Amino acid sequence: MTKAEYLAELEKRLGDLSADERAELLADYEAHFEHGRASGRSDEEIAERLGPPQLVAREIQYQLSVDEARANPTVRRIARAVFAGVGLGLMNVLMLLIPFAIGMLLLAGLFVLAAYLTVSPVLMLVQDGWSVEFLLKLPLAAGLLGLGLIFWVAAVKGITLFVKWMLAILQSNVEKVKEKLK
Amino acid sequence: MKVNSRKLIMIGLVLIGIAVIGNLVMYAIGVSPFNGVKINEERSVSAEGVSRIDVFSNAGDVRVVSGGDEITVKMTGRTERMHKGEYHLSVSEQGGRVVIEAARDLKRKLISIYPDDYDLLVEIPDRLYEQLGISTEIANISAERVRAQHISMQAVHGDIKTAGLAGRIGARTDTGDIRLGVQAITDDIQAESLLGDIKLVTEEKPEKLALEMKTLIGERKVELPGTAIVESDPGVPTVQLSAEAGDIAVSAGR
Repeated sequence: MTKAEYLAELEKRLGDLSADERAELLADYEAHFEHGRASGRSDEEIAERLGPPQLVAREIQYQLSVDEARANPTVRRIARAVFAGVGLGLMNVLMLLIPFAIGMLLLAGLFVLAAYLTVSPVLMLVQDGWSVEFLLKLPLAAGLLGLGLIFWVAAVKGITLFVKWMLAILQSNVEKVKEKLK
Repeated sequence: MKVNSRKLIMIGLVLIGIAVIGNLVMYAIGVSPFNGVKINEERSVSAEGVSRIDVFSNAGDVRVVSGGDEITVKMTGRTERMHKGEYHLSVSEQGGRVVIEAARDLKRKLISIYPDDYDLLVEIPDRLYEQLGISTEIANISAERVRAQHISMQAVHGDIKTAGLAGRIGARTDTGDIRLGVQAITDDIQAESLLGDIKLVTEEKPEKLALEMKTLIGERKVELPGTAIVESDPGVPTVQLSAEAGDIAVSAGR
């Protein structure tokens, strides 16, 4: 693969990035080729050392998505970074997708439980109707509502902890990718 | 408006405090929802002349054991006061056939303090009956040391577990495991489970046996050393075990 072919393929794969970002990255890789040529290597050898342009593009997009998640940590950006990383290979599926999936499931469970407890007084009313039995259950309903509020707060705090945890995992993983790209 | 999480926790703790104190006071008086009522129904009927026993239970586990001089039926459990009327038990005898029916009204429960199920214990005198049938909808079946020329057990959703049975046996469940413990394989045995494992354990090893084991997704295992497995033969007991998704095993022991 010649330098022109490599850079053209890389440019095509980085189509989602802004023009400035793309230009900067392509300049970096052009510099890699120039440096390699100066060391007496052929374009094919340089291309082989750099790795397939598809994989390089995926690694770059992963790195950028992690930077974006760090700058503005939200679950959505974390998810984007995780799925960008998952495309890099099976190891990343294990290292990123599994903790992400477990964390999301736990959070979802916590929110569902909080919602169920919070609406439990209404469920009791629907089930028992306005009856003496329902009135006798009012203290219990108050307790379940109170528990629901506490679980709700825990779930919201859980999102912050989850984002921090996933960012730490993504950061350590991206360091390895950066080393590879150097 | 951003709600202060500390305020929410305080409100939550106050509400829990109200719940604890309120329920403690009401429990002491005896009107708390936690003052559940026991379900304790018992019926007895003479076993003289009885050749057939049929047991139906929709939502409670059934356990049939041998013992006593009469056919005794006990329905036990615990529920909220207002739901006690939802449990029904009837035992009737006619023409040598005893019919035992236990049921709970299956109303939709959005929130419940008690599990709302019940247990049904049926004790029958130890002798050979013509037919014993046990049928449940969403409940398990267990039978110990009972004898009948034909024993039929059917659970729509539930496990079937037996120990020391004797006679011709049929067991079927849509979702659940079947563990058949028999004294000896002297009559035909048929067991079918759509989703669940099937295990047949015999205390005495048969000399000969016609065995059919079918499972679409699962393993088949036979541990009957010294038993000749033959093709279907009128003089040889036939064992047919079938599971759509589940393991099947036949072994000797207890």
